[in-house]
Amino acid sequence: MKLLTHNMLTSKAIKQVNTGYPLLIEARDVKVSEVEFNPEFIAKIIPKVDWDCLRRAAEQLGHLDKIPASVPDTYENQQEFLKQAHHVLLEIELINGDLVCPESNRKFPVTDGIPN
Amino acid sequence: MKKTDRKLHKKQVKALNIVKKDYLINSCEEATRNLLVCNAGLMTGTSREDLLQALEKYGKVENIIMMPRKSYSFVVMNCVEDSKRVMEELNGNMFLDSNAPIFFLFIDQVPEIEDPWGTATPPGLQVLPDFVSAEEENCLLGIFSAMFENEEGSGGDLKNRRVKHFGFEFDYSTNNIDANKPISSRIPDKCHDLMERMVSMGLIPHVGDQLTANLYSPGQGIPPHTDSHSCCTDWLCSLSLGSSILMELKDPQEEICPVWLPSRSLLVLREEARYCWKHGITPRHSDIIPSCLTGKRDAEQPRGNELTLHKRETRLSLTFRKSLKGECECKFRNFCDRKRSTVLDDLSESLTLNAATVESRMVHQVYEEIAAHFSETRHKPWPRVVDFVMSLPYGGVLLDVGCGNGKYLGVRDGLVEIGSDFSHNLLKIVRDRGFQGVRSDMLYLGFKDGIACGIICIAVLHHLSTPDRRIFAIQEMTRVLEKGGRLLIYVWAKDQKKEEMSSYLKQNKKNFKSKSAPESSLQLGEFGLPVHKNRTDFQYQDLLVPWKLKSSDVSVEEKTFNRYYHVFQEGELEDLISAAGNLIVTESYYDQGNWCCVCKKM
Repeated sequence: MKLLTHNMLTSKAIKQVNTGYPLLIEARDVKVSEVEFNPEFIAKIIPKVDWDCLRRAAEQLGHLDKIPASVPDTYENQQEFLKQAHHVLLEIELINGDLVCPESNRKFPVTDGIPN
Repeated sequence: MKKTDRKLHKKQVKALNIVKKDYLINSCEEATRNLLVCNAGLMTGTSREDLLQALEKYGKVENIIMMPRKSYSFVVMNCVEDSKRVMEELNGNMFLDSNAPIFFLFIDQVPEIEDPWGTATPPGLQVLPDFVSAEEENCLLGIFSAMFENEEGSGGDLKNRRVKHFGFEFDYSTNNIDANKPISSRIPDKCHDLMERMVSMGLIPHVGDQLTANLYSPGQGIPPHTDSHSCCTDWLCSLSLGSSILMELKDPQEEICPVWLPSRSLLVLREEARYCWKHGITPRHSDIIPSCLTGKRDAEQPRGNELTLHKRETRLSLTFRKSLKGECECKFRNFCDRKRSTVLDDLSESLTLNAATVESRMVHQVYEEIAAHFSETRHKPWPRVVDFVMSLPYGGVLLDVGCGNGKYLGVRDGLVEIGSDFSHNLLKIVRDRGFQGVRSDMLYLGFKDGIACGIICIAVLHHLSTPDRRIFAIQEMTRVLEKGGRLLIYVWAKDQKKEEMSSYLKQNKKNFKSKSAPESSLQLGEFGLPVHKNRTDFQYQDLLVPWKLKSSDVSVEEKTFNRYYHVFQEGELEDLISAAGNLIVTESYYDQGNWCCVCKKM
């Protein structure tokens, strides 16, 4: 499960949960791989990303150092920033662990990269 | 050992291991009196009598032990010589109408089995011994033999037994009663009293109005049958007078359950025993039973498990029924003979009540089992779906709800693609192909509001079993769409002939004949749903479609799984979408046997 995917997941479906976002991560196995960098693509998807959620997720996976604190105004042109964003969004993957609902504390296992 | 002997030996070892899972026994190199018989058991439809008949040619059989749901038996021969002879003559041969060769093994001991005669009975069956006293028995025998002598009461000599009907006639060719045609012969008063007794004992809810008296001479029997559902209510009672006898019950899988009916006992059949199992009496002159059943005990064998021969004498059975006016209302729809329209009327109610269970058993579990094979047959993306995906904006998020093996992921660049499905096994295939997969229920999508610019839901919505659930799923997908985002839904069409012929129907050459095929007989499957005959026109909207699972391992048996589908009428999908709200349909078409809609979130 890439952090880009995690950014879109919620446990709102559970009864008595209002927001269910962001889901906390309890990581066991994390994998870092190489994915082809496409700056235009990253620039397009940045607006859809909840940056706070991404930061917290990166921190829980032990990769906080790789991610900038916030999105700069002219991010589309800043290669360094885009590269870092690319790395965090697409190259760090949670293979085994749990996602935890922030309200109900219910756990959703991630097995072999697939969140349940 | 010769090559054939080695093969035989291998099979014997395999068979032994199956048994060892259940019982602590060991095979012996040297001959013993105890034999394990493989591929012959109650589950293969073999009866004790069959086995005895086959074996006694070679020696004296002391005991036969058969357990329900097992395809093997234990036999104890009287002496080692006899046992050796059985082994020599029968090991590895086909006999007893078997499909596979029968193997024998010498074993050290026969296990202690609490109920060696497997007298566990089907649900709804009861035998009440001493229901009538010896005096009453004599009295009844007197009344009825007089009638048989004088030919009172209707009914004549059938090939086998002599039969008389009272109240209504029970027709043995249809196993049915015509409740509109009572006959003149009245049920004798003494029998009425018996029925009152049954009611007072709580065995039946009310007295019956039909009686059949059957007179069996030794050697006569009655073929296995189930009284048709519409002939009488949910109970059948049969009083055995004169000789005791062994009756055989057969379950839908043809497994045999022997039931000993001592004279003066009352047999009560209700529920499964009445509606789903067959009952019959094999024409024989004697029955082989453990002596304990006859009430005799041998000083040497206090448990009474040793076999004894019980000779049959003349037996009179009095079977009581209450005739049924109107349709059967049993819960065993698979076995019922009620009219088709009634079956379907009840179906929508049944689906509403059981929706989640139907989907769990007939969709979720099935796809988990067939995942690998299913994926192999799903590799060509449909062009018009690809067109939709290509039309999505660069950098947008595409969610494939019910992605299966991820056939539509990776079709183009420049999209954030996520596949969502309920099946673990299919998602593994998605992940192995390098895509992001999330396990989610389409009724409760685990995604944030408004993140997707495009959602595809291809051949998935038709697995939901009620209109409400389908609408709910559409609403969930609408929630996840961003404003202005687009949704493509494909569902299987009931009418498969819209374009010249869908590829589905093309696969069956029979469909090319201009004359339409006669309506095939209705077959009911799980939950009372009609089972569809593959590659023919759909006859119902809610049905089960078989999937023949082919395994790459040739030795694995081909298994068939039924999948639940609701196939759509023209315009039905548009109705669901407008009921869901917040979506407008921008395009509507028929493609490859599916009804398709493109919609936009307002």
